[in-house]
Amino acid sequence: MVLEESLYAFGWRQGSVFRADLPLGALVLSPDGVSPDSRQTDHGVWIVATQDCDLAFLKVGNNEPSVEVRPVYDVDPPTDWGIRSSRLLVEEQRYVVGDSPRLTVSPALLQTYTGVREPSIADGRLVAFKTWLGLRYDRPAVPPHLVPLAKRIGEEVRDKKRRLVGRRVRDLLMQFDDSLDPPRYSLFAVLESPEDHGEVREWLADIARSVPRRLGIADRFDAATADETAFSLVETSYAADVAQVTWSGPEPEGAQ
Amino acid sequence: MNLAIVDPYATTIFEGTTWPLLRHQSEKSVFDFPYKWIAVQERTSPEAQRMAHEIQAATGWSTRTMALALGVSHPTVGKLLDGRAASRLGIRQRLAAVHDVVSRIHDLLGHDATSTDRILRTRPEPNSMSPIDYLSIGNPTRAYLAAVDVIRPPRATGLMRGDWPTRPGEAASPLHE
Repeated sequence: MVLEESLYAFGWRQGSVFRADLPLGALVLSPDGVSPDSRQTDHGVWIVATQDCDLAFLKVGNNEPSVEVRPVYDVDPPTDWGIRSSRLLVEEQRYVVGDSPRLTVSPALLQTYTGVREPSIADGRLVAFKTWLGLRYDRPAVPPHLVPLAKRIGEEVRDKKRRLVGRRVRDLLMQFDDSLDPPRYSLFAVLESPEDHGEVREWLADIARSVPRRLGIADRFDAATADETAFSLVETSYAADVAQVTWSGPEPEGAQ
Repeated sequence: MNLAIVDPYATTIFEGTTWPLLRHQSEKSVFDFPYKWIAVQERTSPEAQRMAHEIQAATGWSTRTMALALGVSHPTVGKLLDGRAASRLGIRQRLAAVHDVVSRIHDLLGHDATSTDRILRTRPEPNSMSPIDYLSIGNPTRAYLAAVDVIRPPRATGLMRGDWPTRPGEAASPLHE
């Protein structure tokens, strides 16, 4: 029975892109200042955001709204492939936006668009999209008084002369002690390979020496593979966005 | 009269528009060079002199120890401190690098000169180099890393953890947009 088959069985995946004119709506405050006002436009290109495990569970005969799709834009695309930017490129000229409205459709409706589903996006972009969906919300933003320091660290990480080593760093985490003036900070690199431990620690020290003392002083440099990294560190650190220059995959490395 | 300006050590960086001329000296022999020699006084730039003094104040180093860190002779360090040494580009760069590392460690140690001196002389591991060794070979980044490792020995085993976890509810500004 076809209706008992899942969306997954019909080739729908997280990251599937399809063309369909669907209403993209949001609620804003109406001019009377008290009631909601619907703002709605039609949009033509969409990407499935629901996870594969849910798509495998949802039957194509199901007409309850349960699949999240996000609008894909192509006007003024970002110039880098960063997975922690508010806008993520899913293809060369097409991107998704973190705070865009989104739409929930039923599996039955989505199934009618099987014929207008596009070939799958590149594997590297697909992984990036999955990561981006998670990372947009699970890393804390930096408190305002530490923004100049954190931004400067991020700039030094992305400096072209550091990319050779930076490519071997999966993630760069920061923690701050703002009880002192100037603040102290620690840098933690999550490595692809344990062999890079020494070189990456020196890379971290070089980054720290390029940050003006008045902004903050680094007092610890550590590097470890993901297996050697405490999950609590990942949960409670700020991200220095090294992925903007090191995202692995077929796409260009680093900001364009 | 022709004039020649001579810098016998080829070390002077002239800064500003007025060059300090000390003395004029005419040659008298039949082999006279047909120019007048003008000796130019060497002097340290105010910035270089300031950095030299701040390094000494932050560490209590003798001129010999400073000379080791800077990779110059100790008479040169004496002249730098007195403002009589030429501040060549190479020396200025070494001064800036040593000053940067010393200042950061001095800050980390609460502006304690004795502790700063001790940390910069200590090897993080028995067979490794001390921060001052790295400074002497012109590698301030490794010097900084070594000093930080002396202050807080690096993790040898176990999971990588932090000391200052973020505090929920304070975040406000996204870093990368």
